[in-house]
Amino acid sequence: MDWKDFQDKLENDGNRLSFGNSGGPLGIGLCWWHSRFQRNANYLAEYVSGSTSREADQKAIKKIISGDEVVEVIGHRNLEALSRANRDAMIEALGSWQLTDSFVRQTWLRGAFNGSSHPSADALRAQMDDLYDKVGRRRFVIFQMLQMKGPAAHAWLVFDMKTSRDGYILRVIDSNAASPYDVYYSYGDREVISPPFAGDYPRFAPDTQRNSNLRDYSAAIRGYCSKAGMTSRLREISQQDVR
Amino acid sequence: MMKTLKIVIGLSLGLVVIALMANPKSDSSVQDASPTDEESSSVAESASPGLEATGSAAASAPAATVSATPSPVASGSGFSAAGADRAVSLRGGIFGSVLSSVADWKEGDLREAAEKTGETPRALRQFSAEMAERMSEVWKDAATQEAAFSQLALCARTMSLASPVRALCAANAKRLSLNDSAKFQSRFEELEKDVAPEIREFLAQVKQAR
Repeated sequence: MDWKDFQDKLENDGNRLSFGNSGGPLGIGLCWWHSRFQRNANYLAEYVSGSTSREADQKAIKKIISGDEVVEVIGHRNLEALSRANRDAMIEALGSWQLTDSFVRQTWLRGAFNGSSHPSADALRAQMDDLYDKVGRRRFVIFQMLQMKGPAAHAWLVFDMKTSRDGYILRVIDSNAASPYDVYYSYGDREVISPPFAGDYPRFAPDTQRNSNLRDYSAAIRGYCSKAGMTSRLREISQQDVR
Repeated sequence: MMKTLKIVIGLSLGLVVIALMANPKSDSSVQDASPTDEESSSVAESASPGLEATGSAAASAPAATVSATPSPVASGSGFSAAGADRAVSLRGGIFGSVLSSVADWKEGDLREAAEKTGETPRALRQFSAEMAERMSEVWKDAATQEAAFSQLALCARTMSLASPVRALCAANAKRLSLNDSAKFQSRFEELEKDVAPEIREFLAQVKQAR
């Protein structure tokens, strides 16, 4: 597989989580962690035949959250099947991750997010150009935070991007929507609008987060392939790629 | 007659004000101050039932140690010798194997890793996933919730554990109390007074059990 194959996988319903982002102990949904789990699983889960067991599924869920090695998921055809069979356990795991992450961000990282809900047109253009470099050229799946006005924030995965006549078309997986959808950005915009079916969001500005775990994915997949005597077509990721 | 009544009411109100000034212990001052002896004993009482330790020393000593923990200071310094005694009390039970595995974590190392990457360290992600696996079992079996609450409360009060570990324990204790307030609400309120201020602040954001 190469990097583009991992993007293409996400168009297939079977390669996405079977449930949305509602729930969670903070009462604000699990969108960030839902998206991050989705991306980890997309890069790292390898579905192999065999009998399913609760223990094996739990182990796989924990390893997917850990995000640093290829995980053999036994007895499930894909992520949709794994998540359908383990819905409650996965929501519990995402909720626990949310709690830990939120505490760390609140105390050590002082806030979850530095983005602005209403950046200048130039700033958003620069962000979109950078996003296109990562998604459209280098073919990564990128995690973005979406800052609304006020404290509210959402998240999504951008897994394809094309140029348009006056800007870009982003293909996103939004944990509030059952299927991927397109988002249109035009040069000069200072915010982005989701289609109405995706959720009743106010306007927002997307902000690419640190994506250093792309390097973890690369190392894990190359290691796994090398152990299995296969050749990975993934090129190594540099610091520049994930800055 | 009315004048006399007004004087009596005025004097009564004055006495109440004087009495309050003489005894400044209010809810908010308790939260900011070190626990008094009375609070310490209530801590020990509520912490004790959860000690599913294997040894008798473990069953008695840690509660006293924890109840003497005076200061809600965030920075942990890893596990001291005294802390190691406390770790014994956290062994066994539902969360024992998970909590034992994080007992010697150094808060400074975790914080440095978080600041360097801008993300929650992998070790903490793994810890949260392990705790989630245990909590899944706790939700399924109401009979385990009493012991689970006690062990989580003890973990939340054990200052030698790294603060994100204590925070997750406290948050899960709150989730249990939200799920069954008749059983756990008053114990959770006691716990909430004992935890470090940043954990108390964080707990305010925990709104629902699941």
